[in-house]
Amino acid sequence: MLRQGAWFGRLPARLQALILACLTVRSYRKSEVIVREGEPGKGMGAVLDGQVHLLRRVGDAREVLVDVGESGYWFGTYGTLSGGAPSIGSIVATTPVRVLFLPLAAFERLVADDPRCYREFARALTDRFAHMYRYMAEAQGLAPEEWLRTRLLDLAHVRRGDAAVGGPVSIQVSQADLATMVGVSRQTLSALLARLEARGVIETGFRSIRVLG
Amino acid sequence: MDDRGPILEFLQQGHWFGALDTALQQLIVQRSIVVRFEPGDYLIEEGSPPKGLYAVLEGRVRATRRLMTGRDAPVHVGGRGFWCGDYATLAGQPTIGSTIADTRVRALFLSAAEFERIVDEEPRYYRAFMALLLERYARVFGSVAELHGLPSEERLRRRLESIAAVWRDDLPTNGPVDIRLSQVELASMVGLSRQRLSTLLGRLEAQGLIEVGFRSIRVRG
Repeated sequence: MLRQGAWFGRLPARLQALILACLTVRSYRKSEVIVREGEPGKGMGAVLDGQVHLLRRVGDAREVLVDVGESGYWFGTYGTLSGGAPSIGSIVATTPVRVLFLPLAAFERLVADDPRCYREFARALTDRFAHMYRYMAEAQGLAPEEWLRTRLLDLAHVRRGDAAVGGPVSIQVSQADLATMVGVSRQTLSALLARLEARGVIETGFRSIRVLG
Repeated sequence: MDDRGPILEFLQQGHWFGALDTALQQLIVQRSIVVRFEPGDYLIEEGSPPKGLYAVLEGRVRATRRLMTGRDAPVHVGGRGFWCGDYATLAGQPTIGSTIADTRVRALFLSAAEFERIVDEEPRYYRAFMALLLERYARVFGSVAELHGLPSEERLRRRLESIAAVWRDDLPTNGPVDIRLSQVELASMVGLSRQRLSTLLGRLEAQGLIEVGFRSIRVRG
């Protein structure tokens, strides 16, 4: 499963084997917090099955959905690459989830044994940096409908990279959660989704969006 | 004026560079060259192969990103001590934005080839360079979450504070930071109309957080 992923799949076979030897399986219940924003990074993980949400606190209390991950999705890279800096977002299980986890100590052992492999790990983050930078620069000028379309196409793109699948991608996400991602009310989101559906970009299902493009 | 000693001492004040091993600091400065730009010159052009890392020694630059309309939208303005070119150089990927001289600029330039030579000779140094990109990632990630999740006044305040925080990392000061952007440019950065921006700036000024000048916002210390 991991070898199908865009990041892990491109690692040298030797490093893949070293990482696989260090991974442990961890199970989480629905709604359990896997990584808590602000707490020191403890390692990085890949979703084996189930779904997680990447959330970020904004303002005093609200949390905004930033990303949705399913099997093959890696998280915790920022806290790990920085050697245990406070996490910049939370990872929450939205279904029962099993993850393959690489503890920070095991990561540090790998890069101490071969410092060159740090650069291979860093690719997991530099790919996302480019996406995030683009959002920051472009999103302000976009109307909510285009911003929603961009985000859904990117979620589908990342999903295809994690699972090496082609064609339409189903993203399991409630409209209430999606509304926080775009910063609109639940009602406005519903209207935006209907317009994207009419444009042939998506099909909406029950707690699920199928991205066609 | 291009002596390496004063350049090293100046850059050591910066948050990222100052935290590096002295040996790496010296290596970076030794293997770099000093380059000069006129206003409007591109230090880095979006979409080009990785060129290397620049540190602004004198003058001011702006980081921009080309929109679908073809317009270059400002993402950040950087002054003395500002580092750029980090993403493309570290990732070995085409650049994701442009960096343009706003004034006459003197900069230290470590080419991508020299960067590769440094990390090839001592692979542990790659991680030290990565600390710069990790700082940036944390800021960009926060800004993306706040893009559509905050009321506009709060969003504007946080964006100004975030730009000021980068200036304070580049060259520590407890004093105010002047962000040289026109209100039209700032409005496009935070997704507001020029009129709405003006109203919100007035409110932030009344709260004592900023002072509004000509093509410039002063963020209080």
